[in-house]
Amino acid sequence: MTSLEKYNEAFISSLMVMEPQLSSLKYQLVEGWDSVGHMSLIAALEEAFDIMIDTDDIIDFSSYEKGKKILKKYNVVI
Amino acid sequence: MKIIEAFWEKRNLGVSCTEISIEKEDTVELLEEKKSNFGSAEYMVIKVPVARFDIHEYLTKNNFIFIEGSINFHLNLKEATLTKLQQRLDGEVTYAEMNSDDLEQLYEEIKKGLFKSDRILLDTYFTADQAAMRYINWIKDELSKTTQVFKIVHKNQAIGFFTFKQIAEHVFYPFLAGLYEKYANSGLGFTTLSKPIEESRKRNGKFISTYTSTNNPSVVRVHTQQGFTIKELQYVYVKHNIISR
Repeated sequence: MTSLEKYNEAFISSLMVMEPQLSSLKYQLVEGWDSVGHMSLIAALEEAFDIMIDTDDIIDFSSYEKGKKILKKYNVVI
Repeated sequence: MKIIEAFWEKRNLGVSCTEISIEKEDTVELLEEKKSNFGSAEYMVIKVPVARFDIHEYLTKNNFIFIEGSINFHLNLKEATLTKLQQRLDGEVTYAEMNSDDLEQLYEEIKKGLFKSDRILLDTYFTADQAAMRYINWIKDELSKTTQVFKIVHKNQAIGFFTFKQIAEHVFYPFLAGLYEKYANSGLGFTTLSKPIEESRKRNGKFISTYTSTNNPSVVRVHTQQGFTIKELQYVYVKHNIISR
């Protein structure tokens, strides 16, 4: 599984969204991406890439695209 | 049936207000009989237990509008749960009782629209300013009693708040809580419950009671995720009587 596939799968399984929605996805834009969904998403990404994301980055993780930039800090290239 | 003259709403909203709670044994006939006692209020709020279709039908026929479901959540502190990730983040977040500067910050955040699913805000008869002032006045009133207000803090920044009061032996009631605008999409919303839970434990609490609106599914989800269960559900109807002055 590629990094992009793992990244997408984390969103799809945590936020209950479909792949076509991903590129424009932002926090609170869909019902599933609320506080509870955000925690599920971060936990899924940490597990998928075996990383521990800093709290500041968790707070900043506000969209699908922003998340890609944040994960670069952890040597995860999407 | 409990009938309350909510005189404080005259100050908050500029209208006379009667709030009625329907109880199990109440009938449509009793409601009709009592109508003359409360029918003159400019703003009426009626809370009805679920599955009372006779009352729901009566209210609908009498031009009441359904505005929200009110959920009374209950938590046995032994059942409170956080995920591993939440536990890690919770350890980086603290809380402290507010001073006067903190309270001013809270009031500014409320004016900016901290509460987005409030039945007053959603009601087209009222304005966002009225909804905000109602919350601010409510907090000020409660502060003059036994309520304490705490700020939730991350890296020396207040990210949100919660109110805290004891309503029975070992039972606490954090009746208002929220994240400030800058942190609204931070994922730290769970701390608005985890910190009152922490404070309740410090005070030897056993249970927490809260009320949440069905107009805010995200807040409902965060309650159930942390172990709260539904104790009671009521439907809330409102009616505006236009009174010429």
